[in-house]
Amino acid sequence: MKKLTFLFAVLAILSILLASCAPQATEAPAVVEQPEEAAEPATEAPTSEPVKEITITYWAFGSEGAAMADGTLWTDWYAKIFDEYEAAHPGITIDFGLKGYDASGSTLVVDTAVAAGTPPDIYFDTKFRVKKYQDTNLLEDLSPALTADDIAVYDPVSIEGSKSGDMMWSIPADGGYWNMIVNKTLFEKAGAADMLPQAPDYSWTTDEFMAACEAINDPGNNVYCTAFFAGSTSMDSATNQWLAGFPECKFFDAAATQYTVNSPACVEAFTFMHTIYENGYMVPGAAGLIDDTTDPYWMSQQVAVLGQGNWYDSITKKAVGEGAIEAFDYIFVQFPNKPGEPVTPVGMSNPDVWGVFKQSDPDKLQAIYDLVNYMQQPDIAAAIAVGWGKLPVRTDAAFESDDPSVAEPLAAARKFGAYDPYFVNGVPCNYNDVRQAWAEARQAFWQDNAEVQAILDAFVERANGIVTSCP
Amino acid sequence: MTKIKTLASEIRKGWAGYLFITPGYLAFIAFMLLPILFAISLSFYKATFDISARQFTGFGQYILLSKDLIFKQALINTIKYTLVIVPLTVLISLTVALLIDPLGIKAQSFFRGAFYLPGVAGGVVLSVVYLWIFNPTYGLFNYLLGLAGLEPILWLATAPHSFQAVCMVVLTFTIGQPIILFLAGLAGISQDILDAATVDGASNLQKTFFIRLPMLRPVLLFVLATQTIQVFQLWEVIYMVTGGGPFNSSTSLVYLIYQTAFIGGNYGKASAIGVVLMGIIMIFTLAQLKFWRETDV
Repeated sequence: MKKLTFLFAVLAILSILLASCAPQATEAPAVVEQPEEAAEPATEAPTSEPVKEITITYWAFGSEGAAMADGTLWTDWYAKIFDEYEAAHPGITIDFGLKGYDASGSTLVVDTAVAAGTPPDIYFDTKFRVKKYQDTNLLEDLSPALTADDIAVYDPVSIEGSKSGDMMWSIPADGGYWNMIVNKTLFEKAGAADMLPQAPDYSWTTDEFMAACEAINDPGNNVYCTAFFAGSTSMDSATNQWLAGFPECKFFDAAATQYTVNSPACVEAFTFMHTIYENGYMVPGAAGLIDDTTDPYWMSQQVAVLGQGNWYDSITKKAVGEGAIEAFDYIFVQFPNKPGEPVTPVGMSNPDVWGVFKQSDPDKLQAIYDLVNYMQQPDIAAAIAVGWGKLPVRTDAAFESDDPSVAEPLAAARKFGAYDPYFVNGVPCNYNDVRQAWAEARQAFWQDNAEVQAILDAFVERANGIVTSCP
Repeated sequence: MTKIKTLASEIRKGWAGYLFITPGYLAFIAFMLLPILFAISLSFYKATFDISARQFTGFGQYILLSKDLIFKQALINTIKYTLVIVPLTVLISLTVALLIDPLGIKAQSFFRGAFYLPGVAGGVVLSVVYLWIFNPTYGLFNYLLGLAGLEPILWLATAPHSFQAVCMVVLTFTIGQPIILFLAGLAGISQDILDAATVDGASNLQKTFFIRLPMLRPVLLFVLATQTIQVFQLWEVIYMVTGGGPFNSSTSLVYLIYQTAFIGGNYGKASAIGVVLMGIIMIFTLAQLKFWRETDV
């Protein structure tokens, strides 16, 4: 026992020593004061004055060898862009890296760099992954990187989603405009093709959706109308997109300080969704399914209607191309809206954004603003969007596609507006904790006799508690 | 002072030996001891991705944990996993070992390999396979239930079944090694003792209960200790199969550490959970060591 006490004492002393030897808690880097009005980003490099050497570290989420949709390596594409930029901006060196990808979709490489005090200057990744650095107050305000003209051409949903209050913590490059995908072949086989949404708007009401589900659903033959999944936090937007059809339902209040997803309008929306469950119109076991689980149901034509149309389109094309499955017809439609309500806006998923870690050198910060402004110009941003299989959020980006899976959601978004199903916008902090809480709420929701109001109340209480604990 | 002199003298005498073990100790210090100590120190801070900006909170994280319902559920689940998986592992592997033991060398080798193979495949590979087996509409288990006229079970989507599902996956790869150990233990039992019992009229069952099992006690205790530690560190199967859900019904302490640190970025709280887990494992291990000493095995 004496030896044990001695061992614990030694451990305690060593812990204290280690704590005092480790880098001490320091004040956050001073935020560089910005001018009252956003300066016009410099596009011409000065030539007569002595040039200050500045190295900008630019990381984009991905792994070495990652390719754009057309097969071009991202490293090659970025190298060309940055070579041109460096040639036009003497003194600027861009240290580029594709970092952070692993199977779980985490950002351990970036997290480790942040923890070590060596984060990149610019980080390009999906919004929800960049947001966590904003939650911990590590990012710069990027308002000075955009001109008023720039902001005017952005999809307003995308630009608003990049702000917390007045602070623009990120600038969006693209977004996945995703509407529903419907297996038309299945409906034709069931003699119910006329129940599908029709051109030109491809819209339907919740009543029409339920009637179509009733017509197509055949669990005895393993055919289900639709599917949901809540087994992980991944792709929570797949559920949240349905809220776009219930415009009065807001995930949080206008000031983004309180979650309000337990409002009567939201209870109505989730009660509607639970009716799909109660009627057996969906693949059973949603609480245990993850997004990947749904793929084989779609590919084997066991599910007729799904959200995230672009994704299922891409995997179907690939599988048909490889001869793994037989081709079938499908169309893209809007999420159902309540009878008498406007057509549902198109969900915008996984916007990719630029974030800038805090800087102490004003000259370097200005150089970073200039680079970000250069990258968000329509041609480059459009190329990035296409490279990721997404769509540009600048409305002036030259972008054309004959592919219905690309052109139709974009056209619908332009016509009916966009909706950001991620409730990350403007939330002060702790997004990942809230997201985890939301996954657990959805798991409770996809059960028999789920009490919708009670589940949403419990989530709101928990989420608001998480928000309250923000720094 | 005398002790230090003695130690210095010992080191001088056996310097070559100490030189050989130095790399091992340095690696232990660098990759085990220092990270453990740093985690202990971090548990007294509120720390996020930017660890340099951490704030000292004393026992704040531990106080928060004591009120955290998810932590409590993870703790209870971890203990439940241990209480279910460890006894079942011992029971199944011991039974299999006793059944295999009398077989010929070739048959024994086949069964040893067959039962050990899932352990070689690893938890991640098995989890992927089981995800298909547990599928609600075209999974093997529900197909078998259907043949028996039973209702399908939502293995990964309902609270009690997700826990059972994790246990099933874990059991698949935890029984292999104990079977090998028990077979080795059985091979070490002198045939003379068994023959003497036979002469005295003992049945095979009596020989198992009164000779084989008592003589396997050292192996049994070793298996219990290693399996307990292994189950306390359960992570990859939960990550792959249930993600801790639904609503945390299958989560474990290690999985919660992963979520808290690497998803939520709350390194201080994750470190506090880690320290609690280390304490629990230490208590279990010390209790087992005490038991070993007292039973003189």
